[in-house]
Amino acid sequence: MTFAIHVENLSKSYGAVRAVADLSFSVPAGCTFGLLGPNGAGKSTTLSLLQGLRQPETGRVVVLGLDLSAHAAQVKGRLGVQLQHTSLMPDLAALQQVLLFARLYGRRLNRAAALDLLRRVGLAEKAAALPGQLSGGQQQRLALALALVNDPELVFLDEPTAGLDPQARRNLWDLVRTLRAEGRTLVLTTHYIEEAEALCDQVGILDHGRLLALDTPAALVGQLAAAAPTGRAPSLEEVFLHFTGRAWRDA
Amino acid sequence: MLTHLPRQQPAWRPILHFAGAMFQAGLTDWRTTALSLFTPLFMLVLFWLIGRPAEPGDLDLAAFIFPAIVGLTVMLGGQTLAMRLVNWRTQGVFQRLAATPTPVGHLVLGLGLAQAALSVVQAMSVLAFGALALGLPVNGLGAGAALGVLALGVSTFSAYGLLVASLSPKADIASSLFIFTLLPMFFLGGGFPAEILPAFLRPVSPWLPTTMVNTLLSPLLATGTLPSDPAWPVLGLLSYTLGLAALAAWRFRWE
Repeated sequence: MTFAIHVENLSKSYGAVRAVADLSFSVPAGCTFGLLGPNGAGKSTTLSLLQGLRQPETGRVVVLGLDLSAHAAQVKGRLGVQLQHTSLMPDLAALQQVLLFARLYGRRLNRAAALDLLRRVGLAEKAAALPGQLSGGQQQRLALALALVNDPELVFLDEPTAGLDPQARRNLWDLVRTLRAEGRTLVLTTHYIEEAEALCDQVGILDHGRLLALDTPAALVGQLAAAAPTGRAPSLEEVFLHFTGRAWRDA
Repeated sequence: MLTHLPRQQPAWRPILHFAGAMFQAGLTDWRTTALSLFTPLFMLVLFWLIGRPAEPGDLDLAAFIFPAIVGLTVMLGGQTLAMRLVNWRTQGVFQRLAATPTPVGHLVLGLGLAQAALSVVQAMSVLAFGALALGLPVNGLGAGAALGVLALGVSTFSAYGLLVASLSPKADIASSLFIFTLLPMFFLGGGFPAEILPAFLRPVSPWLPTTMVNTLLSPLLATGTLPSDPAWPVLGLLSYTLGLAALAAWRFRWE
């Protein structure tokens, strides 16, 4: 099996807080991998380590067959990244952002191709709009368009449907499925368990920076059913709560 | 899956594309660009109204301060740059840019180039306004040569803006820090005649970058000539640019 991501003993702390603790896992190429966890579990930190945005204290990350610490720029050129906060450039219209980001990835998109990309996320009619003139959901979709501007092999989506209305969420699910069907690997974080169930081939449950479970959604449900039989099939949400507990969490 | 290393583009290419996009954005957002001209234009008109010589032989304060205000226009570009850098940091824009293969430092350079070009356009607009609307004396040849001095000045104050951005957690702090340090330098550095400065401050004046810009700009705009010894202010501005940029690069954090 070919792995799009291979992580060994990854650790990262912020001061006294251990955000990621001795994390090891692999993501097969071509699959949709979901990282679930409560607020502050270490999901975004893990993604930023996999994207080369932060340096780990210990451990090794191999992305698309290349050691990230040695080939960060080359790897970044093959990644699509949508951050948790949309992080759009406030001074540039949607179309300008797509054209500029293509250049930053060493690609040259013509206007028609850039508009096609905006059309793919339902924003073609907002091509001339500045981010401040877009709704939260539209900004999210523009961020997604920017994540696809370099035709990436591996796409990171950090809570891509947060703040989207049900229609936009379903449309995004369709887009994720299309991207997977095109052979891309997707890694997404989400708070919506039904989203992970609907989209992900594999799910990792993360808490306090540690990976508590990693398997297909069906296998995780099966494991809980076997461990704590209740006479009915548990949901993935129950699996999530089984591993992470029910206490309130702060980010 | 590919495991080869894709060919990387030359470093200058994304820098220029980024600079071009940000320059275009600055021109498109003409209201903000025009608004940032308000301070120098207001000062110019104010001195023109109150500083006209009462009798022949009196100092024409408007004509005296005109080159300094043209210089101030490019210096204020550093404030805009500082605020934008801090905003991008707090809004996570840099984090997204850092996810691209183009190094963030190259993009900051591109942004600085765009701001520098906009500031020079703004300074030339102030120059044209002063000459054409207020009738202030400008040597045509010197105005063309002033472009080089303005470029040097904007480099220095962009580097200063970069340092201010590195030290400021919020955009309003960056703005205040920049302006509260620039204005004293402006008035000590050619904004007012040296004779009216307190004696204990006069020795400071030659060392200020504002003085160096003004030393080069004043004779160029008035007579079309450089000062007798241009090496001191030119080397001084270059030294300030390199020193401030090095300090800023050391302190700069994109998140």
